Amino acid sequence: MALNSLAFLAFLALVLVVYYIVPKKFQWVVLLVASYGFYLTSGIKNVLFIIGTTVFTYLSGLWMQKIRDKQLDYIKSLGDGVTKEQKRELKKVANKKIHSIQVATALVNLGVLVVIKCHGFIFDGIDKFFTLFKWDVSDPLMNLIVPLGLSYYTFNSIGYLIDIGRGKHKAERNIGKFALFVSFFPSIVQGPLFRYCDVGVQLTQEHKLNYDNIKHGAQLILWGFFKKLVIADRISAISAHVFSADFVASGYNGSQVFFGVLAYSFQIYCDFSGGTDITRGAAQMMGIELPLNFERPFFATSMADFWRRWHMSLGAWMREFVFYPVMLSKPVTALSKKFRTKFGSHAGKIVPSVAAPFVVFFLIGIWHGITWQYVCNGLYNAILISSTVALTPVYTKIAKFLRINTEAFSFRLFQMLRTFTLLCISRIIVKAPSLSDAFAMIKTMFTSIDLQFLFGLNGEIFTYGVDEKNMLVLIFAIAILTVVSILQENGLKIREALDRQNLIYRWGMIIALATIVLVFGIYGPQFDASTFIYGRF
Amino acid sequence: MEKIIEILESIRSDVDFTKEEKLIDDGILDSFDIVSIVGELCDYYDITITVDMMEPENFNSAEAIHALVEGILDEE
Repeated sequence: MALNSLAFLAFLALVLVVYYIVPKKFQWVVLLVASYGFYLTSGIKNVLFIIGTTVFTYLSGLWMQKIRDKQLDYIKSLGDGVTKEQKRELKKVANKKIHSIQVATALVNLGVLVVIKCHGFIFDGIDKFFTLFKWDVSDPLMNLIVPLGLSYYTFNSIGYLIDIGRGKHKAERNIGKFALFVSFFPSIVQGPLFRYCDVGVQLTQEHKLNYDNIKHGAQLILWGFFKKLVIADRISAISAHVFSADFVASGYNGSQVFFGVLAYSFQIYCDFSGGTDITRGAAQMMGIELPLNFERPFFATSMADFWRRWHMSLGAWMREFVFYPVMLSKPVTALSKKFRTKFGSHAGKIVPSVAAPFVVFFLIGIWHGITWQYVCNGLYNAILISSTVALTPVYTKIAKFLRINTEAFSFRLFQMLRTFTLLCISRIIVKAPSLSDAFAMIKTMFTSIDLQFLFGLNGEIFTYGVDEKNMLVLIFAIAILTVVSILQENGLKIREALDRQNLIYRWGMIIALATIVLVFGIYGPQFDASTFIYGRF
Repeated sequence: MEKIIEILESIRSDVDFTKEEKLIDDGILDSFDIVSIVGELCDYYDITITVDMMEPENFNSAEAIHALVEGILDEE
C-alpha cells in the first residue's frame, strides 16, 4: 500500500477512528494490529523477516538487561561493605559481557541486511573469480525481493540494543510493545529512523484526541502529497530519459546531462521528503512526534552541511552509533593524541576526522545496497568531508588573504552553488547506467555546454517526457516550494503562521493547495510502495 | 570553569562560550568540534569520556561541560 494512495488515506482514517474510540490503554494494540495489517499488504513472506528480527532483538535485549539487573542486585546485596573500586570492577565485568552480546547481535542483524541487500554484489565477485576456473557459481538468492523497510527496522533494532548496552533505557519486556517499535506502519516504508527512548516510548503512551495535532498532521500530509505527486512524479520522466541506457548510448551533450541531474535532484528530494512529510503527518495525527528528516538540503553550504540537512535521522544514527564510537575508540584517540602532541591541535583533529567519514560512508553504502556505484559514491562523499575538515585552516587563510567577506550573501550563494555542483556529481555517480557512464557524463557536463538546449530555444527540452504545459506546472510548483523553503530557512514556522491568519485566508490557502494536488497530481495504477525511491531501502 | 572556557576557545575562538547555552541544539558545535573538545578535556584532566556520555545536554553549554567533567572526576 503506497503512502501516496487513496487506500492509505482510507486506512489511516480507519485506524485513527478506532485509535481514538478504544480505551486509551489499548491504543498501542490498535497501532500494532494496523502495522502488521499494513505490512502484510507488502507480501506474507516479508512478515517472516520482520518477525525474525523482532524476536531476535527482543530476546537479546532481555538477555542484556538480565545481566545488568543481576549485577546491580549483586552490588546492592553487598551493602556498604563494597568500595568504589570494587563496584567499578564489578560493573566493568558485566559491561564487558553486555558489550559482547551487543556486538554479536548487531553483527547478526547487520549480516542479514548485508546478505539480503548485497548478495548480487558478493556473488558477482565470486562468480567472476570461479569463471577463471570455468566453474559456474549462481546466486542462490537471485530471486529474493528485499523485504519492505528492511534497512529501517534493522537499524532501529541495532540502535535499540546499543542503547540498552549504554544503559540509556531498559529492555522492553512486552513483546507486543517491542514489535510495534519495530513495525510502526507510517514509518516502515521509508523511515525516518528513530530511537526507542524518543519514539518507542511515545508509541505505547496514551494519547488524547487533539485538534491541533489532527490539523497540523493533515496539513503536513497535504504538503507531502504536493511534493510527491505534483513535482516528483511529474519530473521523474526527465531523469528516467536522460539516465536511460539507450539515451546514454546514443550520445549527449553536457547541458542534457545537467538538465537530467537537475531534474533528478528535485525528484529525489521531493519524493523522499514528501514521503517523510506524509509519514510524520500521519504519526502527528496519532499524537506521536517523529524526528525531522530534512532541513532544506538545497541551502547547504558544504557537503558536511548537506549531510546535516539530508536524511537527518540516518545522519543522527550514524553519528550516535558509528561516528562517536569510532572517534572515541582507543586506537583513534591514542593516534589523535600522538598527532596533537607532536604537530598541534589541528593535526590531532585531522586524524580521526579523516578516518570516521570512511567508516560512516561505507555503512551508508551497505544501507543503500552495495554496488560499485554506491561504493564509489561513498568514497567520494568521505573524501569531500574529510578534506573539508583537513583543509579548513587553508580555506580560512585564503579567504583572509583575498579579503573575502565570508558573511556576505554573495559568498553564501557561491557556497550553495558549489555544494549543489558537488552534489550533482554524486547523483550522477549513482544514477548513471554504469560507473564508466557516470565518469563520462560528469566529464561531458563540464566540457560540452549547449545553452540553446538549456533555455529551451530549440524545443528539445520538451521532448524528455515533460511537455510545455507540464513544464509550466513544474516551474510553478517548484516556485511555491522555493518560496516556502526560503521562509522556513528564515525561521518561519509555516503551519503556526497559518494558524495566526484569518479563517478565510487560512482555509483559502489549504483549499488552493489541495486543488493543486487534485488537479495537477500525477496519478496512475502503477503507484505502489516501491515507487517511492527510498521505499527500496 | 575558566580552564574549560579556555579549552573551548582554543577549539572554536568564534563562539562566546560564556553566553551560549544551546551549543548543540542550535548547531553551533558540530560533531568534529565535540570530538576535539573531548580529546582536549581527556588530555588536560586525565579522564575518560565514553560514548554514552555524548549526550547533547552534556555539551550544550560551558557549564554543562564543566558539570560533566566534575562528575567524572568525582566518580574516578
